[in-house]
Amino acid sequence: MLSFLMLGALVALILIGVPIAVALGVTSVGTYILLGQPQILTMLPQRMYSATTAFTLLAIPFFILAGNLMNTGGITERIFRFASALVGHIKGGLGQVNVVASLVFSGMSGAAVADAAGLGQIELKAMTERGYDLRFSAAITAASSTIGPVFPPSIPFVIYGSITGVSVVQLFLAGIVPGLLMGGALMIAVWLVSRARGYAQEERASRSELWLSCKRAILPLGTPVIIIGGILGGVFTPTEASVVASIYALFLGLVVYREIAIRDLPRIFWDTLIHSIRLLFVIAAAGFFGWLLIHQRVPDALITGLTSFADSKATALTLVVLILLILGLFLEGIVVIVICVPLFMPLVQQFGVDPVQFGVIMIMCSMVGLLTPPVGMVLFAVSSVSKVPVGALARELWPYLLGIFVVLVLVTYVPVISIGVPSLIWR
Amino acid sequence: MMPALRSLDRALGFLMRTIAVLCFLALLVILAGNVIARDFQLYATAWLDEVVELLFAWMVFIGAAALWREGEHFRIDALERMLQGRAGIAVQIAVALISLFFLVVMTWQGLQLTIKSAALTPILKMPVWLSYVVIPISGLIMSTYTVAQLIYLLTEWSKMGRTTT
Repeated sequence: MLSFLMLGALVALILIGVPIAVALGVTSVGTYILLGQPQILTMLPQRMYSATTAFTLLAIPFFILAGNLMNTGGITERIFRFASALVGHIKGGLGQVNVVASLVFSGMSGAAVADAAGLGQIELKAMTERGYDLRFSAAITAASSTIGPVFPPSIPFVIYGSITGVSVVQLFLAGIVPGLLMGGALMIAVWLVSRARGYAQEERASRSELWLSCKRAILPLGTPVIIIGGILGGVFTPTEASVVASIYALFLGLVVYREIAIRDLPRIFWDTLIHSIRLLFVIAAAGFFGWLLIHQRVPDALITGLTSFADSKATALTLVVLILLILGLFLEGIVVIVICVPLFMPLVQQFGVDPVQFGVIMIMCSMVGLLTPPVGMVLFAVSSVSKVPVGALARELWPYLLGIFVVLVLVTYVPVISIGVPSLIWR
Repeated sequence: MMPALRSLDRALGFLMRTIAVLCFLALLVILAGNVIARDFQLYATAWLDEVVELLFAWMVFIGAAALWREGEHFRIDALERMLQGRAGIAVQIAVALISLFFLVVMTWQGLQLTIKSAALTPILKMPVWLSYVVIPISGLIMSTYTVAQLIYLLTEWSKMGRTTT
């Protein structure tokens, strides 16, 4: 009963417009006051502090910085050109390019909203110039930006790892195949939509054009190799990888391509901090909230409740995925993660679900949430950049959502898709 | 009085941004240096963790206060945009009061934590309150801005009362 009251109060507070971090904090503080245990509030600053200063979480600002530097430093545009030469001739043209560019870019950055706002602008501009239907362009830009957090590196995986203690490296590896599958599913969806509507494709790039665009993009294309290679080779931790990626992007932008000036840096740094600290402050408040959930044994109550419905691993996972998708309609992606991880982790472990696989499932559910109204951050970001109204964009999105959903179902019921790669390496 | 407050507000905003960005820059340099130092075995860097934690805490909590001033934290403002006139203001007043309640608790408890922690970090022998103190500082700044917001909303509320009745 208490659990329902708490979660209900939290959702109500968020919906009336209380900042999400404050809503998490007030719900926890209010619960302890109602329970007559105000002395426990001494834990509030400690939990906030330790939840937000975990070394793993430092990867958040640096991956966002790397993405910002690449967008400013002309790197994103090179990737787009390269993707264009690679797949522009497939039916759907720049729609296909959009998906491939997002996939490549996601190997360097780790945030969906940043991808939608940065690379997305370039994708939209190019597609509009070539006369593509704006709604089609906006929808595929939104959908493809959700590959970023599934394909490594990924900020949501960093957060999931810091809450659960699951290895971020394993999570990164587990995201490779699902990320590629999402790319494939979106390309198929673009192909089908384009065929149904009679969209054309671009002319096939000649060998020399392909070679030229590849040469222009070769240095940025090295970033994912450095990140993943460095982490796997034990040269650096995921957090250090984010720092190395930032330094590399800074070097490319400042020295090699000279598209960033020193005087741009304070603005880029502050812009990065806005996006990072928003997340980190929510994580800080969620640190106390998550502790409250466990302290009040809410997950235990949930296990008892759900085991009466669900008798097998598959039904339990189905229920959890449905709950995550419904919450994703109303809450921001990261918020779903910080609330639900402490809530559902004991439950899925009870049923023997691999925590790495569950991480991928959880992040994919929150990606669907980013694209669905009434609250979808990517939906909002792309709508404001493209000027396509949220409702029209959401209607245009369904074929791509369906594609992502199919991959989500596969990842949920076929564990090898996610945990195959990490178990190959850690035999 | 008002112009003085306004320039104080702007100066504080600039100061908070600068502190957060400088912490971030320092973290970038220290962590990059650490990767190089370790891989070339230049020097031992066990003490670094303590400095990194201190900088990280200051970056997040001072940054959070700067974002609070600029209204940049995650929130859903659909309801107050839907409601017009006094109803919209009433919702904003409720939101500000709820926020103020949490921020005061955070400031007070953070202050207690800072005062009570006498420990030193293991390697550098830095007092740990140097890290914790940023919580009440950040909380106090955010509370102050929320009070200012409340005063503004209440004057708007009374102004609207006069025009509609």
